[in-house]
Amino acid sequence: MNMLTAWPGGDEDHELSDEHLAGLDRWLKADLDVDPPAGYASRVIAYVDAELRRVPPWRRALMVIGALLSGGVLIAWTASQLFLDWHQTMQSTPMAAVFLDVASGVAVALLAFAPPPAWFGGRTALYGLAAAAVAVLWFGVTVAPRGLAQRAMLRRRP
Amino acid sequence: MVEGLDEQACVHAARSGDRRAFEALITRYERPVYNLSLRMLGRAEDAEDAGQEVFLKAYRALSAYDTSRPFSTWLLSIAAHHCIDRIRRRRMHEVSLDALPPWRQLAAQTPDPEDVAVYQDHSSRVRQYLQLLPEDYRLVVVLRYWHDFGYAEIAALTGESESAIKSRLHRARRQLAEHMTAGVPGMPGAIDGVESVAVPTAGASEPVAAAGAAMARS
Repeated sequence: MNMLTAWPGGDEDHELSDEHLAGLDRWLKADLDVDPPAGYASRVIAYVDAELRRVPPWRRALMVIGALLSGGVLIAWTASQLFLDWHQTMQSTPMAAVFLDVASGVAVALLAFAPPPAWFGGRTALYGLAAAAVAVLWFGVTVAPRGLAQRAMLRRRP
Repeated sequence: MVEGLDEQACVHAARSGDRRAFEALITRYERPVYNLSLRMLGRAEDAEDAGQEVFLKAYRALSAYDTSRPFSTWLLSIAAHHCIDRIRRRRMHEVSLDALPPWRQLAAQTPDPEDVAVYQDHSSRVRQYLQLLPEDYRLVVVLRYWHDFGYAEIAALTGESESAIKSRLHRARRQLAEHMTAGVPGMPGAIDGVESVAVPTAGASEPVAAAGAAMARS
């Protein structure tokens, strides 16, 4: 009995009556599976790991755009604190202060969690330190002066 | 730990995020996935790349896997679809070559000495003839001959009816036979006549070109 007749759902007997077709079947069946290259499974595992760690391009692009936008807000906010004395004004408009704080916070978070850009040469630890430095700077420049201003206002009150 | 688990346990563990369990599945199925890709794509490098991508797709789709189906069928379905996509993408990049009939496409590629040696190999020759079939025909032949898929399984995989699959398999065999009769010009070790190809296993030694000639006549 030819192997094909034993296949599931096989009603190929009429075809197999043709001995030539049976020859073709045998010729195909004689092609046995080959072994994958040595170490193939390890390469596949490494590939899957690397791909799962990789940030998809769309998310990377989104993070860059978000970082640029919120970075712009951060700079504007910092400049206004330093040069326009807005931290006084912000005391009278708390919602604006909250909004700008959140925007600045998002900017810092994006910096901290975004993958290091190519020009950082893959030095993740250094990039993390830089992001932490920006966060400290942000806190020192924007939040601390507001607290000081509030304290000064309280002191001035009769 | 993972080594002792059976397949379904491995799948469940992998679904719940156990990477070691998924690695065990990769080790278990690297061979069938690689061989399916190799026969579909025809080139070892392509098969290696495709295999990697298939396992990645499978990992990402594990949550959608219906555990009532055999894992092997599900995984090979992913591999089959991936190979078809890959062939279609490749064809888009090879428009100029595709304008030629299949045997001219092969003739247009200049075989290097290494290829010449490889073509003597039965396995490579089978792969080469498979490449002459349209990809949907090739898929049916590969799943039926080397992965023991039934008509119903192939029909479910391709979204066609069982009768369509049967007739596709029949046409695929006829086409294979015709190609074998005609031979592949410019290819070393191609079938030029009845005596040039014989089945290399005991009890299966009829010249296949004769089969091809007879089928082409029928």
